[in-house]
Amino acid sequence: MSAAVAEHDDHHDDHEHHDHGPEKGLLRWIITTNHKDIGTLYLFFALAMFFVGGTMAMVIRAELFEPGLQFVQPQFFNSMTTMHALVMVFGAVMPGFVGLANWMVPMMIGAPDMALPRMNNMSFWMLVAGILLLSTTLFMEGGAPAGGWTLYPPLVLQTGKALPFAIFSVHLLGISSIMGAINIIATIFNMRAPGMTLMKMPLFVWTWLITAFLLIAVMPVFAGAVTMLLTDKFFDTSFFDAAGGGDPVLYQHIFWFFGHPEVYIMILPTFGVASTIIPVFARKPLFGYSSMVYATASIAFLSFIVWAHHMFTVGMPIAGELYFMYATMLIAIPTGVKVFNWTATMWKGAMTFETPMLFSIAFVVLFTIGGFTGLMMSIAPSDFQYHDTYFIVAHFHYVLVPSSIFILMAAGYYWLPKWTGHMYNEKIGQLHFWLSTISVNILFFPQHFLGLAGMPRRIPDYAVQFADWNMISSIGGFIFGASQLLFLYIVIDTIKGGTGEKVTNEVWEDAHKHGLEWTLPSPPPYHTFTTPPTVIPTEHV
Amino acid sequence: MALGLETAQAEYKLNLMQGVTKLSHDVYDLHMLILWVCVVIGILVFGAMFYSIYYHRKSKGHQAAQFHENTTVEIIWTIIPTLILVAMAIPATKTLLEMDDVQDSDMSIKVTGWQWKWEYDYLDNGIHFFSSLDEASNKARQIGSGIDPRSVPHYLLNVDHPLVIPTKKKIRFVFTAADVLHSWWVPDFGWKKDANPGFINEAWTYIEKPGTFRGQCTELCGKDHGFMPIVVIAMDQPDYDAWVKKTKEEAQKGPSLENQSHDELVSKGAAIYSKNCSTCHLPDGKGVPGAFPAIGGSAVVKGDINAQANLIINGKGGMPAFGKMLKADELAQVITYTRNALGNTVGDEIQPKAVQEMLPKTSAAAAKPAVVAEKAAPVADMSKDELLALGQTVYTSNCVSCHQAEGQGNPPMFPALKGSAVVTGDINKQIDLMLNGKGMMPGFGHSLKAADFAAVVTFTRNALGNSVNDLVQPSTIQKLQAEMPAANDDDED
Amino acid sequence: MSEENKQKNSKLVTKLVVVVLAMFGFGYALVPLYDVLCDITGLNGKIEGVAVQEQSYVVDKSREVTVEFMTSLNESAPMVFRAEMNKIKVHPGEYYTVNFYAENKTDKVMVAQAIPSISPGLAAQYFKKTECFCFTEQTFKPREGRTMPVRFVIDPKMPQEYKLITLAYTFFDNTERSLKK
Repeated sequence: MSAAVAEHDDHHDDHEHHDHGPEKGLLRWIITTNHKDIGTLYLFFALAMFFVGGTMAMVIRAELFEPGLQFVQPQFFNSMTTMHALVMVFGAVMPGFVGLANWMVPMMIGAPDMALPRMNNMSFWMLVAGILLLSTTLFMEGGAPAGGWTLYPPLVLQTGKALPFAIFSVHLLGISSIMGAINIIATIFNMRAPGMTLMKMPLFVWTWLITAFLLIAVMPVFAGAVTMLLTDKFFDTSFFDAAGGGDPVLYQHIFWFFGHPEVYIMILPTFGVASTIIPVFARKPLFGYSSMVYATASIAFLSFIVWAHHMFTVGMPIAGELYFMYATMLIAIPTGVKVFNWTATMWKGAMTFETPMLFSIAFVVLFTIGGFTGLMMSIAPSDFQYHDTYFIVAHFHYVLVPSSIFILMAAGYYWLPKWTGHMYNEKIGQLHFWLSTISVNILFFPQHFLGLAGMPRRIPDYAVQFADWNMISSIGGFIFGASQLLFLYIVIDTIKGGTGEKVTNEVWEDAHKHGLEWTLPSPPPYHTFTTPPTVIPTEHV
Repeated sequence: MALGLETAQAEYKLNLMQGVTKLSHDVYDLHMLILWVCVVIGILVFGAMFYSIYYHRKSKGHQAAQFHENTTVEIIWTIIPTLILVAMAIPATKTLLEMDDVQDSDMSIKVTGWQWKWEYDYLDNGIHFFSSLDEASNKARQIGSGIDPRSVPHYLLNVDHPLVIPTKKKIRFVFTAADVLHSWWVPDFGWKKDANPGFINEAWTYIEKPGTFRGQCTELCGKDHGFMPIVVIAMDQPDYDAWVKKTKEEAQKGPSLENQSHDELVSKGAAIYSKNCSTCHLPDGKGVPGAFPAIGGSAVVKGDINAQANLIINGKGGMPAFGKMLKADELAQVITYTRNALGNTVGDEIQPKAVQEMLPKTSAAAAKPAVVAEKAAPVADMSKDELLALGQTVYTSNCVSCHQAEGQGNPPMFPALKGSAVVTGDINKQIDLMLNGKGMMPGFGHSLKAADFAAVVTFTRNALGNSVNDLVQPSTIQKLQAEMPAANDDDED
Repeated sequence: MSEENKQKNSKLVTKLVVVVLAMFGFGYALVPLYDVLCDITGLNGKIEGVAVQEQSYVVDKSREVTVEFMTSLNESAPMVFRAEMNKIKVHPGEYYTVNFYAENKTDKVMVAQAIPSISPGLAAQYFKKTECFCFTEQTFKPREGRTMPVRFVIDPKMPQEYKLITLAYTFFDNTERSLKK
């Protein structure tokens, strides 16, 4: 297809959907099919849910501040841990990365929009509906689900009125994610600018492509699992009920067949953003681009065959335990390659340390710590001790908060000037970084000690020998929570004009070498790349 | 319980505990090995990174190199981790195989997880008991208890009946659960194992030296998941044998009328409450508003203890007469429990002897002849008006608490009688349902006299907005009651 | 958007939707797959709920295996349930009958299902039952108690390392469930 034809077609397309610019007023945001608008909606929604889920975390940390029950009843505490996880996973982290994908994937591959704009709008509003429905369960008779985000039967079947609503909301969230994933795959496969071959795509696009495949592979399995819960409860099936020939352990297998890839759904785009940011601030091409792609693909593949390491204690035959132990240990290899590559990218660079780079470096270090504890847990006999203790809580928060969340922050600082055309306040940004990094470690590092010393997870109260570290952890939590208000302030401030400094197209020094988005004006016009770009950055290849 | 109190609190630890078994030592060694591997890799990687961050910065005038791959280096940092992993896998496999080998054990203990307590069955000598959170912790853990957890010995890690095992024996545990998933973890043994309803799992331990070891449930099992600890006491064989002998003797004694301590009454009462009362009044004593009154803050429970005992023994309205079902010591325990738990803190107690005196003379064993005696004397037929009048009083004292005064019920739990398909349908079916009960509806076949029963059936069909216009005579009911199996309570198994 | 692109998109979307539906189906396919896996590996000690044909084996008198019996009631099912013996020493290849006693403690008809579980799980495939009350739901009249036999044999092919096998039954009160049906 020649460039001229493409240009003509794109204009034709514009006349069909949206004429020159956005609709006026609120309606714009409701009916928009523009990838930038939808990206913005996703990002704001994720930010809002980050604060909602964060508030629940504050309730948890407040209750755990001291031994004894002070504020909430155990049942409500369990609802808080369950809802905190569901809101953070499905409401904050996943939509955060979908928002980034919406904004950046078309701009990075030189496409005018997402491949399926109407479906894009629908998947966003379905996400909102799903989360709203989930939130209403908090006010239902019997309370919100309190059986943990894993929704293990038989316990989850003891949920009150909320159960069918929670399950239906999981369906909505699942459909929303699947539609988003299909859209991203179609965009990457069909909308790339001429010359943008797969192996020239920025790593963020690569990681999202692989993530999208994970999503369409496992979200339906999760939807099936919760549907089985629903029919077990209301329609007399016995998938998980031993009384009718079922087995509750089967649910755990199905759940973790979804759950382990789900973990990578949250971390692979993180890798992608880090691999995008670090080279810019090291002023060096990414080290080992193709090995990064292969490592991401192998991690994704391995994620399908290691699920039962989440359930070493459930009573598996020895052969199963050995297999899942070995397979899990293997994940350390591609993950190690990634960390080494990031380090090698920094090596002999000419680094500067603006806020996005600071968050990315913190990510590499703290994610590696989370990776180490993950490696420790892969050793099945040791996991018999770690399993379901605060050691696990510390582990997965290290790979989610100072990893996924930090990278979402880094992405915010990195691309906000591009999105808004305004520079954020670097001083407050760095203050936000230091407060977050120090407090997140005060918050989660002591939880390693607690877990090793024997504190189980998901308990509202604990033996007094755990008191000191819990108090320290809570203090870290409160500082971390409060620090995030700075981020909210910076985002609003930047949208309103920030420092007033006029940002250039490429914002960061020589950024145009690293991605097509930096060849566009800041802020980019409502429609970009209606004519495909002709020069593809190839520095990293 | 006293055995568990040598030290008030466990020492604080940063690292994994080494534990007291070979398995736990092996696990600890694996843990330390992998930890050090991680520390060394961490120092190397972070060292390189921070060196680079310090020296390779633009502000120091460092010029960026432009290399972006190096196959040799990439192969090296793929192979070295692989070798490290293989080296780790070998000892890990050995330990795993050893843990899995439950054969050749010297004794077996079945562990059953309940919401929220543990049940232990010694499969070799028949000893059997429940083990739940000790009363001191349970009191202190309530919101607003005003008790400082630090003043409670082994807060949340103490139980009423610890598991006692001998040292120098290979002990096999078989795990299962009665309701939801649980997981049994004593860190000192080096493992935890899930307890799954309907299925069994095995694990084993071998302890060298006597000691007390504490752990907790580690699989979320509902609201009191954090409050079902585990205490294991290992004793040398002679001490263990003495414990077995003592425990068996105690078990053989019938209901004891001996005085019990306040704490003992309360802690034993908890089990009786959860077995007999919690279905209606709910495990937390909050009840179901409109149907089953709350225990917490109840005027009856907080009032005169003898009046409460009287009510429990003889029943009232929807409340069954427990004098027939429970023994004197059990009644004393559950009464004391309700007054000092579930949000109540009356602080008093009642002893089994006092309850025994209040029990009707025709308790348990005597109940059967009474029914037989009634069978012999035929009852007279009654007019419809007589039946309706009697039925009204019977209804008021037996049915209103659930089906309400006007028969409007309390849906969805308690169906309305007005217009009910059962009440307006086949009279025999209604009688059958009322005799035997169904779901939450108790069977009234044993608790109502034939005349009362006939009257209340007639009443429901011709009052409360129903007008079926039929009736049933006491003699019919009497015949049906005679055919019913006897209501005995041979609970022992 | 060009027609060509639209076609490419709808083709791709169709393929991906097929993948999604297939994966939803795969979730359900895991249920029978899991049962197959359980039978092969003895996962969870879950065993087939059907009787095997009685066939004769060569009895291995030189070998003794202890079979231990465990009985449980789920959610305090209102029953009495016990095995007539705690354990029995058996020779592989020889048939044994062990009686279990179960009693309905209610005044109503009760339908109950016993769920077997064997540990170690890998031994389950060598433990053959020709008769068991666990194969079907058991209906008890009010207050009825009855003795129910389990007839079993241990396949002499069972590896030597298994010296103790636990056979556990848990009775679940299925009355409400079967009333609905």
